Amino acid sequence: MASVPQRTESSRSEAGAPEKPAHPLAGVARSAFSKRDTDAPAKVALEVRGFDCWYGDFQALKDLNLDIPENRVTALIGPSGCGKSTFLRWINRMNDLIPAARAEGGMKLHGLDLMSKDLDEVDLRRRVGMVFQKPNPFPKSIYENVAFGPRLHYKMKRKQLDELVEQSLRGAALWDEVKGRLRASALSLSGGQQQRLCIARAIALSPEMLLMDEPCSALDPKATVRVEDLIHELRKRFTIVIVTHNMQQAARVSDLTSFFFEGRIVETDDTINIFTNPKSPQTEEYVTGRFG
Amino acid sequence: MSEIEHGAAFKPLSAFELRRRGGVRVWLRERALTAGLLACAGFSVLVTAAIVVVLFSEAARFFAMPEVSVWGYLTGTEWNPLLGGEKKFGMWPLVTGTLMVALISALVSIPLGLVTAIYLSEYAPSRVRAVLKPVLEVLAGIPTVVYGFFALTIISPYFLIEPARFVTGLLEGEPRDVFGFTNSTAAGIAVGIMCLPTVTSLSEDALRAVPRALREGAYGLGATRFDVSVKVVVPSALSGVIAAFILAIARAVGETMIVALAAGGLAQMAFGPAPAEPTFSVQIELDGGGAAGVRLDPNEIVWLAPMLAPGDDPGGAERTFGATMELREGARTLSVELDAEGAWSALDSLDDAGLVEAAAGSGVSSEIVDRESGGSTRGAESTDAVASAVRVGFEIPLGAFVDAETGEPIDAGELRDGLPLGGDSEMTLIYDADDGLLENFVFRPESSSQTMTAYMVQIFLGDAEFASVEYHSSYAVGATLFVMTLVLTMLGNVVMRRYREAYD
Amino acid sequence: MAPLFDTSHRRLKRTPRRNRVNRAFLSVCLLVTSLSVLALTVLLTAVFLQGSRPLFGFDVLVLPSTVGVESIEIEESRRRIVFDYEEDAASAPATGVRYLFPPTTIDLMGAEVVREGEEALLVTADGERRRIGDGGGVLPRLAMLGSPSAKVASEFVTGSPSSAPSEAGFRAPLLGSLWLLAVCAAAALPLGVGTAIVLEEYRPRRRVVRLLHSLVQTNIRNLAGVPSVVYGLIGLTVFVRMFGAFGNPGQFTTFEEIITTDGQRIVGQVVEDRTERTYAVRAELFGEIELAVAEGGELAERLEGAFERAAAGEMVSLNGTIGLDDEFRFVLETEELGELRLDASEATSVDDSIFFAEEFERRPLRAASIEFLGAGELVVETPEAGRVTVDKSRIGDMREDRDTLLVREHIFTFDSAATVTVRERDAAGVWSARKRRMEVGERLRGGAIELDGDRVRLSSERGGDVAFEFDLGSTEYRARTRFTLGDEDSPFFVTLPFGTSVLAGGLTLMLVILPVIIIASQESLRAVPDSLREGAFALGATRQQMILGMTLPNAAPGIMTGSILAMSRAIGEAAPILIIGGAGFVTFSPDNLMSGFAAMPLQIYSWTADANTEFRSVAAGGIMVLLAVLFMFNGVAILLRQRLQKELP
Repeated sequence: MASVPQRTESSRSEAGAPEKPAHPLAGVARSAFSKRDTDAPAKVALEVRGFDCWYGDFQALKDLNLDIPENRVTALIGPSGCGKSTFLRWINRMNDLIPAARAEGGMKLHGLDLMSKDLDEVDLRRRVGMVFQKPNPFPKSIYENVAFGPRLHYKMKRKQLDELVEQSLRGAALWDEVKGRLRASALSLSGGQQQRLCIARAIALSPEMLLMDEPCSALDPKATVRVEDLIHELRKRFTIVIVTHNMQQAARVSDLTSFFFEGRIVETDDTINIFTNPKSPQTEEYVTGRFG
Repeated sequence: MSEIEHGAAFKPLSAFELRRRGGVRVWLRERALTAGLLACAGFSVLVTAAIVVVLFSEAARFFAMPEVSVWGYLTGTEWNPLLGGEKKFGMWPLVTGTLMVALISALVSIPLGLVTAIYLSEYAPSRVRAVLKPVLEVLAGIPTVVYGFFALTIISPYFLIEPARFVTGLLEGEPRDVFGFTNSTAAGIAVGIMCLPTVTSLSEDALRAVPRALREGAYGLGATRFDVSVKVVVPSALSGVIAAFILAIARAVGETMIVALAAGGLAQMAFGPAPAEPTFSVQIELDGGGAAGVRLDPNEIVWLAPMLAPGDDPGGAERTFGATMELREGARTLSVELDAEGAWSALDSLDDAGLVEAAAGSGVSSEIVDRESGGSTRGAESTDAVASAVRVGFEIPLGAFVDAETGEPIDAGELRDGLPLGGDSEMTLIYDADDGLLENFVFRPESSSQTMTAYMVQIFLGDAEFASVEYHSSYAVGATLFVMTLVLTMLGNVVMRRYREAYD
Repeated sequence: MAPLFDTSHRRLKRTPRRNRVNRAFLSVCLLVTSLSVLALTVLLTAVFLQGSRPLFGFDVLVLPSTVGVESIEIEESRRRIVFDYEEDAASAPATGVRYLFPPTTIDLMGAEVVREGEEALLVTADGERRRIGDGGGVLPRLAMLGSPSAKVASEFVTGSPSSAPSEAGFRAPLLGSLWLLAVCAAAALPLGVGTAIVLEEYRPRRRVVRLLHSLVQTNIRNLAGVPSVVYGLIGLTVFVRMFGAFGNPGQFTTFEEIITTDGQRIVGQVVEDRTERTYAVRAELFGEIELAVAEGGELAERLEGAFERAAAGEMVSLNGTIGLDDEFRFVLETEELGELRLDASEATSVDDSIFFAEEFERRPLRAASIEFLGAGELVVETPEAGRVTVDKSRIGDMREDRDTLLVREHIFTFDSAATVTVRERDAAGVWSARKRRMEVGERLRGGAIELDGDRVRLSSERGGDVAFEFDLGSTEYRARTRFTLGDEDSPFFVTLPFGTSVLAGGLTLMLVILPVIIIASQESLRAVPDSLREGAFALGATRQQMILGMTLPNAAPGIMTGSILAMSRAIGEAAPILIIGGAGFVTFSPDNLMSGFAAMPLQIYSWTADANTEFRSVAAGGIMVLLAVLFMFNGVAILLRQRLQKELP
């Protein structure tokens, strides 16, 4: 852990020990950090080496290298359009649905080569769940939404399914609010509730990794807080990768942060470091809000 | 063109300038135009009013006629307006005919259309779409007469009649004509093909309207394309899809030309081997009491049919003829010669070549005796002679006789003893035509049937006089048809609107 | 840290073979969609195979490959098929082969090829021997006999339907359809586009009007779902019969064309309530001439005979009888002319004794004659009717030089016995009156009509020299007025009621496609962006200016495309036309709005339903023409859409 140095305004080009300005999110990062129980260094869940991807002729991601740790929250930050979501969607191969998307390089999830031609992407998505930017519950009942995933993949008895649905809804901190009306339409829930329902839906399959693509950007502040608290809880059980353009959120929620810029990873470090003492000047400019 | 350019194109006038420039004339023109346009809109209301007024007033005239009652129409199961004799006007046979065709067409168009729509919306690459959509548009644009032609000349013979003969030949040893020359199945299939593009395009619209996010959510949970299509997209689009089905059925119900050509029911079309044929039977009074009857194959005694032609009583006729019966030693058939003198008076001449040939073909012996000249002509030759006497001979298998009262087979010995052999006997020929050609209040898609629309067309193709009961009956049927399709169309539109509200 | 979830479901049984289900479904989808393509292909192929003969002059045969026929050739006269078998194809069976014209079928089953010296002979199973020659050709599986002939195609399209399949032509239905389409478009486009404009551009604000608006909208959507047969019924009552306001059908029904043996054509109306079959020749100077025709050719023979026997200027005495019929026409029956009826109102001078006979009797003609003037005119002179001039050409060809008929013809038919007072005015202008009795079913005809309290006065059209009066109250009668508007020469000639005419047919079709046009136009109008409208309003345009000057031109491509597509639907509609009575055997093309007509889909229907299955291939030829027309229409619509859309931003 680095100490917390003082920062003063000065030009970075000066040699020696430059004095840096106070980071606005330093406080947030520090307080979040202190609340977190970090223990022994985590194993690597996802290993990315030399990963490139293209949309047609346009290269969206260039030579990514990243290790995503197990049971941690990893945040991907960066200005819009720099490839964070794209990268996320390669982890569960959602980009396969786009005909013009193509990727090369190394990506291994718990040893499973995600770039292999023989990869069963349907099964992969059972193991890697995703929550989307805008809540997208199916126009079915709350119960049916949560049960959809397990029903696809497993033969379960009714009682087992009921239990699983309850556990998933509890895990998404939604159970108390909906337990009396599981048959009601999912569309009758508020925005924040719908997003938590989508989270419940995703965790019902006990995925090895949970991907969240700007999960709070469509929610109001109150709902956002609830979801962030939820993420904090879920961290105990799942490996989470979250894309966010909201730096406060990244600072609050994540253990590891990776800064993306124009298709490359500029810097990856513990969140506390990214927001208090970034190594790259670009990172510095971004987290201090000078652009993006 | 930018908005400004466009604006300049038509010389805008301020209100002041307008009044100054054009004054009353412009104002009047505006009003005139508005009035004209409103009249146009009113016209559509007028059309509906015309439909209702015309249909229901003529139908009312129909129901006011003595042979007809509203209750009889709504509940009756016989429809026999043209066969002379007692006319019956129950609507159910026609409605059944229509529903039968609509059902078969739904069985064709709904599954195929939905699957095609799913394919187009969820699976098809854009190259395939680019080919398939025009094909469907072409199919939709083909006039229904052409479909009728297709059903009659291609579907019926090559896809129904011949294969059925083949299959029954395999299964039963002897090929059998399952499908009539005209039948509801061919018409139903053609109507289904015609409705297919409608179902497909409406369903596809509904499916495509489902937001992409839902699909992504499903894929994200590890669903295959099949799972997504069938378990997420279709249920989400369900009301739109159902609306498509309803509207397709409405179209099928109202279809005319295909059923007119291919489902038969029209007077000029030949009827295929329809199960409902008139029956001929024969009764002999046995010596010692009792009567033996036997049913004759109409094809074999077509020769006899004119003697019992419906004429005034389509329900049935009975005529007794003098007969000479002979039973040769060891023979298994009874030889009968009917003396049908005078029975031919209804025919002007025996030049009905078709009958004569048929008789010859069926092996029935016949002899036409010209009493004046004493000469007789045998069998297949047609003759101009007005026959004053006819002797018709045929054989009846002994085993075919049954007790005329009970219907139980008669013991052969008893029969031999009781047969009134010799020249003084009498034989009664009974014709029962209550199994009329139009009995179609049954589900028999392999034979011809008459739909409501085909009936309406038949009336106007044929000889119904103006202001007769038949003429007005077609308006009553038209009113029924209108109500049916209106209900379906309104239902479909309501469902469609509810669907659009959810997704717009 | 152990996961808090019960992960026992990891040990649950997996749902099996999901990828296989997915692939299987894809195969099902492909199969099903290919069925649609297949259906279309089979349909078009079948139509082509059958229609190739009437349209292109060649037969496409499918021969089993065992036939081994080396070549098939059509003789020049197109009357015989000549084919060459392989040497050893002695016992090759084949399907029946058709000759082209005249249609004859040779059954090749059991046929053999036999060589006799230099010749090869085809010996069919029933012993027919035909010589076959050699030549180049195509075969064996799918044989095209003959070559496509534009001449045959043009004959088909320009000929007339006939009772012989090989002579059938498609001209009358083609032109009839085009006439129908013109009338339909003229009516449907303004109404449809106008309605669409009202619904889209005049969005109401007040609640009540908004309700009306949505009602009209729903109404139109429902109208789109009404079966076309029902529209046929409506058209029949409203346009053809006009609610019976002008009399009822049964009196003027189908048109028939009588083709005489020497080719003269006389158009007639079959009047059904005559006891014997007569053809009434309409639109003559006489009003109606009823000619009893025993055989088809006799009429012309009789007329021609009469005309030719006399050189110009010759007068020929007529032998025959004259009388009055129940419609107060002179019935002139002579050997030369057959039966000729002359309208009393045309009479230049009248022997009044003929009117007051107790019964209608036929009297021998006294000194009646025909005078043949030059230039094909003849004058019929009888003491009863004076001199009436007839132009011979009017009998021969109905389409030239027709005068306007009576503008109004009132016809009273008596349903119960009535007494009629006949008044006549003499040269001095003095009216005198007699009474006579009208029998049930008798008719009075005249031009002018006056109602005087309880009495009706009917005067003849010209001059009013004779007038008939009867009591309204004591008489049962049916009155009918037949209005004719316009010059019969002009295409816009109209009579009321419309009867089974192109006008009525076109208006009925208009009913069918009106909802379609409205909905399509509405969509086009809706597609014009609101920003354009707002811009116009901001610049101070009135609504009318905006609509006419801006919205409409912008929406025009879409409206035109939609209209053309609606028209192509109208061309294909047979059911409404059937209902309004267009099913007659019509072989002429319309020349004015009141003409009877044939329509393409209807002709196809008649041919298909004909008991003679030879007509099937003719029907297929007709279908190909119909599809070609539709193809053209759709092509134009697509082209328009593309070209005009380029001009928009």
